[in-house]
Amino acid sequence: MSLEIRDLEVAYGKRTILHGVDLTVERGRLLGLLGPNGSGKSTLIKTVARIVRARAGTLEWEGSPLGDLSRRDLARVVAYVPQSIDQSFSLNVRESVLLGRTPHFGARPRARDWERVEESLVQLGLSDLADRAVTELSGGQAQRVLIARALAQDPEILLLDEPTSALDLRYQLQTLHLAHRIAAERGVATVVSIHDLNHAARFCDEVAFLSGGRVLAGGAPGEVYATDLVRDVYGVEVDLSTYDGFTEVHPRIKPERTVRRTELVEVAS
Amino acid sequence: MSRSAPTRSAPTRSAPTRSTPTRSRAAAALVVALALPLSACSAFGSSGDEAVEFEQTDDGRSFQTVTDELGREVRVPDPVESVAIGYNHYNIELIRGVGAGDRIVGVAGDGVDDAPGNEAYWDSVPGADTIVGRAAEFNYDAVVAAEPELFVTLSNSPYEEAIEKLEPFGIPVLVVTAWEPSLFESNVALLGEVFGTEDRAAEFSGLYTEINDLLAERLEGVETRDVYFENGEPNVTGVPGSGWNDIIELAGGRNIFEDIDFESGNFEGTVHQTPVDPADVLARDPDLVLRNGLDGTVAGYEPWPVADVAAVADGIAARPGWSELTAVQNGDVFVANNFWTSALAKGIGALGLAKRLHPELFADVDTEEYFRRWVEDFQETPYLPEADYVYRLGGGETR
Amino acid sequence: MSAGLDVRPEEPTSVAELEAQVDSGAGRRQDRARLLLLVGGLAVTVVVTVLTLRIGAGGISTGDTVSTLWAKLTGTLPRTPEELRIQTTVWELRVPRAGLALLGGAALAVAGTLFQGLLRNPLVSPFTLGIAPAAAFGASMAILFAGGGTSSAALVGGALVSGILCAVVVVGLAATKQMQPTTLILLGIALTQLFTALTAGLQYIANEEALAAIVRWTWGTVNGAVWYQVVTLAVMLVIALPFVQLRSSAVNAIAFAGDDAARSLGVPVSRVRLELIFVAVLLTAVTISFTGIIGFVGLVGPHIARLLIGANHRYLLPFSALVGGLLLVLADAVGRVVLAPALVPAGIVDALIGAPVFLYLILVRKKAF
Repeated sequence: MSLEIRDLEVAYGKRTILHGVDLTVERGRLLGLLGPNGSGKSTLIKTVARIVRARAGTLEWEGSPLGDLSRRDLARVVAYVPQSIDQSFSLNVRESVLLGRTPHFGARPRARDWERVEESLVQLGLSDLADRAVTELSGGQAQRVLIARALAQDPEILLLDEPTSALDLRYQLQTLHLAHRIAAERGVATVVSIHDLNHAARFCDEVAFLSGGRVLAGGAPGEVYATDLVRDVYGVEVDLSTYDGFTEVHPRIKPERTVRRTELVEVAS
Repeated sequence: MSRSAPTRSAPTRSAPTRSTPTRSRAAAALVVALALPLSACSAFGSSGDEAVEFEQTDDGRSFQTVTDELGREVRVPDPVESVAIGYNHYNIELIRGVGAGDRIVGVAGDGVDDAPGNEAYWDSVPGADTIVGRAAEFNYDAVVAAEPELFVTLSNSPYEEAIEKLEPFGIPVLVVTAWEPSLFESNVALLGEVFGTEDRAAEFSGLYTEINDLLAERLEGVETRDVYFENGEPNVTGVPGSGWNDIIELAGGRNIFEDIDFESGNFEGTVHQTPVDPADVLARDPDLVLRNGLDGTVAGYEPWPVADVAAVADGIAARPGWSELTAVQNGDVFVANNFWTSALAKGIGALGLAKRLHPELFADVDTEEYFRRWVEDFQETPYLPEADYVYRLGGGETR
Repeated sequence: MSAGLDVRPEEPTSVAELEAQVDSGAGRRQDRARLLLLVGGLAVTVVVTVLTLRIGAGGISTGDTVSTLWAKLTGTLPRTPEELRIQTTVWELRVPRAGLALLGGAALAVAGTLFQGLLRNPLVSPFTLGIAPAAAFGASMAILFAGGGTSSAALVGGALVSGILCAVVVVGLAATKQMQPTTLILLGIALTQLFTALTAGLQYIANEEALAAIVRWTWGTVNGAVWYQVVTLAVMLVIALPFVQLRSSAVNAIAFAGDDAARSLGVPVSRVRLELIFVAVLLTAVTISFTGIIGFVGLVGPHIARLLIGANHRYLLPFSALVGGLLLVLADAVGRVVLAPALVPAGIVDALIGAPVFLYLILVRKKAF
């Protein structure tokens, strides 16, 4: 009961981004995709959502190739949450979430569609904001709208493309907590691409490190995090420790090369 | 607290449900293919099956078919009792000239209600109060309401549109380019035919022919004199291709800017309004300067205040270096009102210019009489002296 | 699993509580309100259009116009010359111009709504791809070289072919870059400049008559409206509006979720954009080949509609049609009244009113449209 990604190759024109990615995402689990910019995290996610076409490789869900599904049918299985919304115009929150029902309703939304919308609004705590224009919301609230929309799609696979990059700490934690709960409570195979190693360790069931278009390592954070892995992927020296049962990563900063003495004092203490 | 996951069905793997791109494009092509032929068959109101029709077949009127300047055959009542003019006031002059001025039931506003100086000029035209168009935009409602039997307009106006819009009302359209001197005689003859006033029309065009014959006769082999024509504003002239140039040539003159050929080169403006360098005027030293119009003042029947005209003439003579011009030294600087210059398809202007260019050749000709006949006999308007319309530098009489 | 996190949004603890909180009627109530507004708008548009039929010389009242419409509907023939005059005036002069204004305005506004939604840009109009200057160029060519008069086939054909050709070039080039909105807009700007320059060149060599005719064409008017134009637009709209309406949810996805998310929602974005731009281009090109260039309806109409009925394209598309049609009908009516008996072309009235309205919209808007 999982999403199987095998030998996935994706290229933009002549530039190959993914060089044969192998990855498994279990139903009901949250997988964190880690890696530097340009490693292909976004491309991988977009390929699963068929926003981008793969040049080679297979994507299978519960044993059947996702490529066999029509675009519309695929949309009932896979939901994609983009990083942000390009908002020149705006719908209100309720209608924004209704967009998630697009692959489900035919000519027009039915009662069932509205019900799912309302359920999503409640679950994401957006009921009070339902009539507000999305452009009037804060970053965190807008992010919740995007997630509510994806949930309204009734997906079996949920993909979040760097949902926390533009949020403050509180909303970062809230979003990741939400992603984990969605995976666990709804049995959705969830993938989130993320920069913060510590957040990933705290919230994700599994992590996978992408570098140069390949998966370098994958597994539970406690098992996978290693100093040489982080060095290979990010080119940063770190120390590892455990806090509150979770693995934590502490970057080692070389004072002469990166920061001035005075700043070092504040950082070190 | 966890909730049970909502049940969901396995993803279907049915055949694609979206319409293929080609279907949508075919549908669109069908739209265009259908719409255009559909247009040809107007499903609405063809006048054939109406109880009452617009064809004037009842009171035993007869019809005639005439051919207009575009070669169009037009079927009109014989004679036409009422006419509306879509564009412009030159057509009023022509139709009035052939003696049908009292049959005009509607006119274009241009030159009529936007030219206060012309107000008295249209007194003899009953339809001068009924405006049926302006700036070559026809108000078909107004045309139809005036109930004309014929609609006349210039060629540089949307006459095809008029033909189509007036056809359901049985109003034929005649194209008469009244301001084109080369078409004057044929158009006058046509209008005489249309209104049944052939004799009067012959007299009318006869006046024009008389002038042309007179000029041709008297000026044969005569050496031309140089003329600078200024069209309404400083340093704007007319060159070959425009009627202003024609006037000069007909009058035994030579346009000092006759070398500006729009066919061959790139020049600013148009043949009727060609900007020139004042230094060129000085260099070419015309024998006579004819300025047609005051800056920004509309020409018309009502003469301009002499003081204004004199001021313009003086201003011209006072231009830097102009005191040296032959024309200025001889006092042959004239400021004219277009009402006079363009009268009778510019025939009056040509004749008047000829008299001033070659006074000795026309000493025995009362050129003013032609102007009087135009205004009084053919335009049915009280005559004002020619001197009110043509001013000579210094205010004196022509030699 | 996550320790001590109290930033969760409030959550119902049981199914019963969930059902109590869920108000699935709210969305449908909003939709119903919009539907009512749509129907109301249709009624207002029809009534106002019929009312404008009485404007013009000839002493025709609203009663006259209504009885004419009824007579045409029932096939009753006029029995007196007066009746004939009234009926012919209404049916051949008034109704075609109102029809062309209504349908042309609707076509332009729908095209504008499509462009704004598909390109995710509130400042684009049906003329963004350069159709208007291209059509003006085609019309000028017809006037200069084919002796095209104002409503001749040559003129209409020239404008139509030229406008569509320009759009084909722009769309074709943009298709090589996945039909990205920015590419389309930039190409449109480039071709606008090109055709504007070409038309200016034609004007330079044109004689006075042709020049006057060209300028007149660019004003935009329904004065010369004839029945085949009304029928053509009617047929096009009858086919295009349902076609577009069926894709309104796709347009919503593209406009509000972005290209990527729209694809993930199952919308074939490039294909939908291509299809609908094709429809929008056709509607625009055909309309302006009949009327000349009528500018602001396609830009301001959708905005006014959006202010009234909201941004959801399911309702916005048909409502824009109504707003656009009504705007142009009113512009023509104003043009017939304000300087009577002179006629101010509808395109000029439209621009004179549209420009300040547009400025106002820009200044008054909050964060976004």
